[in-house]
Parts: sequence; C-alpha cells; structure tokens
Amino acid sequence: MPNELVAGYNRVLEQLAKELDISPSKYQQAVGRFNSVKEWLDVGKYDGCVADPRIYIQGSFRLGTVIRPLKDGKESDYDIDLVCELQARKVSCAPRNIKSDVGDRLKENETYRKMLTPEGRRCWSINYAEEDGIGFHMDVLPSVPEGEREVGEIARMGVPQGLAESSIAITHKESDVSYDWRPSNPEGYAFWFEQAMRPAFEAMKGREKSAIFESNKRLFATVEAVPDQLVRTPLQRVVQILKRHRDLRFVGHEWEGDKPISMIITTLAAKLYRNEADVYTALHNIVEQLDEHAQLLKSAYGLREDLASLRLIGRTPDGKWNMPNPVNPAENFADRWHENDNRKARAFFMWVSWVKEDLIGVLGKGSLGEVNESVQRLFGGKIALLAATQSAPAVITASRNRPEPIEIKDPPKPWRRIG
Amino acid sequence: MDNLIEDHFEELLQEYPDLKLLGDEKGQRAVEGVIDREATFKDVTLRLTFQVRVNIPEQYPDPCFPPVAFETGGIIPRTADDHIYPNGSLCLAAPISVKMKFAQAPTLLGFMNILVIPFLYAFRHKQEYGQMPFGERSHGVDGIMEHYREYLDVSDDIALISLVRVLADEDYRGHHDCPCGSGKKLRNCHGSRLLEIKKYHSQEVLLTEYGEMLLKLHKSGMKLPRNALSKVFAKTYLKK
Repeated sequence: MPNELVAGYNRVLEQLAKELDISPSKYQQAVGRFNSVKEWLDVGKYDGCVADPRIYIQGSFRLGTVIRPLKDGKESDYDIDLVCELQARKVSCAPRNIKSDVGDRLKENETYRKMLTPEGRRCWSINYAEEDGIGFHMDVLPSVPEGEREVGEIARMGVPQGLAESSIAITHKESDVSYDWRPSNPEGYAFWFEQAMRPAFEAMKGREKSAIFESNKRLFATVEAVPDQLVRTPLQRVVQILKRHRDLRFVGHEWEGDKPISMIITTLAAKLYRNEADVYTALHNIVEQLDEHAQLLKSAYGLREDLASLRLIGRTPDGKWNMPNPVNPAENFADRWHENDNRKARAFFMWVSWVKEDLIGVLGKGSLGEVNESVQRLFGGKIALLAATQSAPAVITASRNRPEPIEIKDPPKPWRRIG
Repeated sequence: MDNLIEDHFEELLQEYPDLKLLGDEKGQRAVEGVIDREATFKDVTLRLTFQVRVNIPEQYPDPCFPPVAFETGGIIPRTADDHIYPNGSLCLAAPISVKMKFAQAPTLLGFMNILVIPFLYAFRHKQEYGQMPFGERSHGVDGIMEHYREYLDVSDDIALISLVRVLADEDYRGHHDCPCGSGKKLRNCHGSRLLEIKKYHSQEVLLTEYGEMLLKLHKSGMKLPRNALSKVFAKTYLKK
C-alpha cells in the first residue's frame, strides 16, 4: 500500500474526528456552565459533611471523547456529567439524604429550580437552552467517597491504590421510598484513560495547542491558555470516530438496542492503544486485534495466547462474558452479553467487522479521492452533521438538499510558478 | 471593510453551507471548511468534495489582490507537475488571468465559482478521465507568455515582448504605432487590451514579468529590436 495513500487517508480520518468534536467555543461555554453550578454547590451547607464537596466533570467531556450529539439530523444538546461528591462518611449517611441534599441545594437557586427536570434514578438534571439552539443537559451525580473496606477490596483485585482511592458510592433510586448505594469510579477511570495515552499526549501537546490557538484567537489570550482538555491524541480521535460509526451503522438496525455502549468501546480502545502517533495506525491496530476476538463467539479457548494475555474480553466455562472495568474489576461491562443467545456479543463483533470493512478495508478501494468519498458518504456528506440520521446511513447523502450543479463557463487554465 | 466581508460570506454560505469565516479585524481573515458541490462542463457532471481554505487579503475586494485558495485535505498530490504548491495553495491560472477573472465578480462567491470550482473540476476530471478538460498552462514564464499570446492575439514573441514593454515602461501613447507591427495606431490596435492589463498589474509586477520574458528570449538566442527593450528595466535592474 503506497505510503502516500495512507498519509492522505490519515488526514481524512483526522479531519473526520475534528468534525465530530465539540468546537472550542462550545467547549468554553460548557466549562462556563459547569463552573457556575460548581460555585453554587461548593458553598452549600450539607449535613454531616466534614469538608467542602468535590465537584468535577466525568464522562466523555472529561475523557476528551465527546462527539456532537445528533438528533433528527441536527446537532443537539450535549450531556455534561458532573460528580458532586459530598465529603460525608458512607457508613454514617443514607443514600436518600445525599440525593436530596444535593437536589435541595440546586432548588435553592431560583434559576436552577426552573431548569431542573424531575428526579432521575441517579442524577439531577439541569436543562440549559442556549442562544445558538444547542443546549446542555447537566447531569449532577450525588455521591460520597467509597468506604475504606470497599477501597481495600478494589486494590486487592489489582487496581493501583491511587486509582482505587478515587472510588465513590453513588445513590440509586429503586423506588420512591427505597434508595441504595452503587459503586463507581469515574475519576479513577479518567486517570486510567489518561495514562493509556500519556506519551502521545506529551509528544503532541505543544503543536496541538498552537494550532488550536491560531484558529481560535477570539477565545484564548495565549497558547498557554488553551486547556489540555482540548488536545486530542490519536486514541481520543479513534474513540470519537468509532462512537459515531456505531451510531450511524446501527440506526434502524434490528439490534439497535444491543449496540455496544461507549464505555466498552472506550475501554477496549484504550487497552489496545500503543501510543501510535497517527489516527490511522492506531485505528488499524485496535480494530485488527478486536476482530481477532470474534472467535470467542465460537469457542472460549481458541484465542491466540498473546491476545488472551491482554485479558480484554473473556468467557467463563458457562458461556458468560467478562469485561472488567479497569478501575473496579468487580464491575463487568459485559454482564448481559450472553442474554438472547449472546446477542450483545454478536452485535459487538458484527460492528467490529463493519468498522474493519468501512474504515480499514476502504483503503483498498483505489485513489485517495475514492477513499475519501466513501468515508464521506458513510459519515454523511459533511460528516453527518447536517444529515438525517433517522434513515439508514446510505440514504443520507441522497436525502440531502443539494443545490444545482455549477455550470462552468470560460474556465481559466491552471498554471504554476516554477520552483 | 469587515461588514463587506461578512456580507459576502453570508452570500457564499447560501451555496456552501459548510464553510466558516475565520479571523478578525486584526488577523488574517479566511474562509475554511468543506465544499461539496457538483459542477458541469460540456455535459460532464462531477461531484467535488474538497476541504478548502481561502485567504482574504487586506485589500479585498480589490481585484489587484485576489484571494488565495488552498486545498487542505491533502487530496491533490503536491507534485511538481500539478498546479499546486507544496503548501497546498492552488495555481488557479496565470496571475493576470486570476485578477481579471476575479474582477468579473469580486466577491467570495464569485471567486469560488469562477476560479476555485473550475480548478477543482479540472483536477477531478483528470483523475476520472486522465486529461485536463480546459487545457493547462506551462509552468513559469512559458505559461505567462502563453496566456498573453492568447489574450493579445499575437503569435510572434518579438511582438509580444514589445507590447509588454510598453506597459513596463509606462509608455502608452495612443497615437504611437502599435509595436505588434500591424501598422495601426496603438489606440486602434492592441491599446484597449494593454490598458486592461494595466488596470490589474502594477508597473513593478509588469517589470518582473517583462524581465522573465526577456531572459527567456535572450537565452533562446533571439535578437530583439530596440523597441522591445525596456528603458526602465535597464535602469532598474541591469545597472547592478
């Protein structure tokens, strides 16, 4: 395969991921919204708390794998997930009170009270409508630090102490009267994810920040003012592309309800990332290795030794699947993969084979122009931002309102200076 | 001037919805993004999907300073034979031709539709069918001379450089004999075309083009008559 083609295709993928990403100005707006809520929650009075609450962002915003949400073909509202970790001892408080304490504090603010949606199972949600039509749903997750005993257990299962210590207990509403604790560790997960790409991040940070600064001088006073969170490593780009590819390919599919969750895609990609310097090579390596795991569908033992030793996806003798959360091995991301004749597992590997065909095999299609066109078609002309997603992806391009072709009259003849 | 750029950008956006306007009053203004349009020439319709950037010069929309277009997706190979510089900027046409074309519709939309689209169409056409649909210019001074020969409708190089000499020396007199050798007065012969060129090229640019032609003809061993030799060029460049 000519290197020039690969290099060109890599640029296509990078551009694709950029189109999927949140814009720096929207990111700044989100940070502004987050900071206001944080300030408000910070100064609240919470019973039984020994210190100010810890408030931080989790999820794809934190991981830098956020993609523009699509709804009916338009960019729609972003979800920002925020953890409000009250500094109370888990053993001496009730999940129901933690949930209501945070909710009550939010309701004390006239503005937030109007924007709050009815209580969710785990979160309080604030809906922001924004002038540009693209709003934010801020999900506030009430929690307390995980108990010492539980943290010790997690560390004994092989999670580094530093990561285990950021474990939290979140509240879970079973019914109107019954609340329970659930384990979680979003911050530990973020640290773990960052570690998986640290060398690549350090290598590219300077260059990326200057580029972001150059094209967003209205937003940032200096290069240094560009936050780390806007730099994207090839791993983050790959996850963004994979997430959108999944969304587009499962639209209208009978297994849409069983499509792989973002957490699984993100975790597997991070485990397979070897700090490759470009998006294409990273994607290629990740997808090839995932694809080889497909034989787990046939037999629990057929996996090549080197792949098996990665302990990415495992099967137990009774046919169940195992994919541990890297910062809490007791949590199995694949705990429901065996249901309905392994439907979730089959949906996952079917999707992996689609990725392989659509994003790797496409290179065999010929010239860069043709490869580019094929990718553009899949992601919907201008990368599906403006295209309809309600119908199958193949129809997207056709359904787009295309202006008349430009009629070329009396064209100039291309020239160039020598040298 | 900024309102004008913004107005022109609005118009451009109607036809190219995926472009963005970058920069502000202080910095370099530019239009950037993906274009995805079809274009037709002689019943052949091609879909053009490219990532482009158009730098807007300070003097915009003065046709003497046309915008500069780039292909930023890396689709067009940066080889010496193609009409693209290593930095991705497109060689839309001979310099005087770019200015004259841009003057036909000095807006962002005009620049896109009259200059950029035909260029991208030609590239796609060559990919698809192996040939440039509207021909192409030689690189360097040869291409510039080809363009002038066509525009001024002369085949003789001595006539050509003598006509350019008139502009390089700012020596246009309507009642002088036309240096093309037709025997007519300039004003009744090549006058209007020369004055048209003068609208877009400064004397400095014309002297440079003249100098390149002179060097080229001199190297080929051509003996030039006196009225082909520029006094200003001799004074400015040959003394040193």
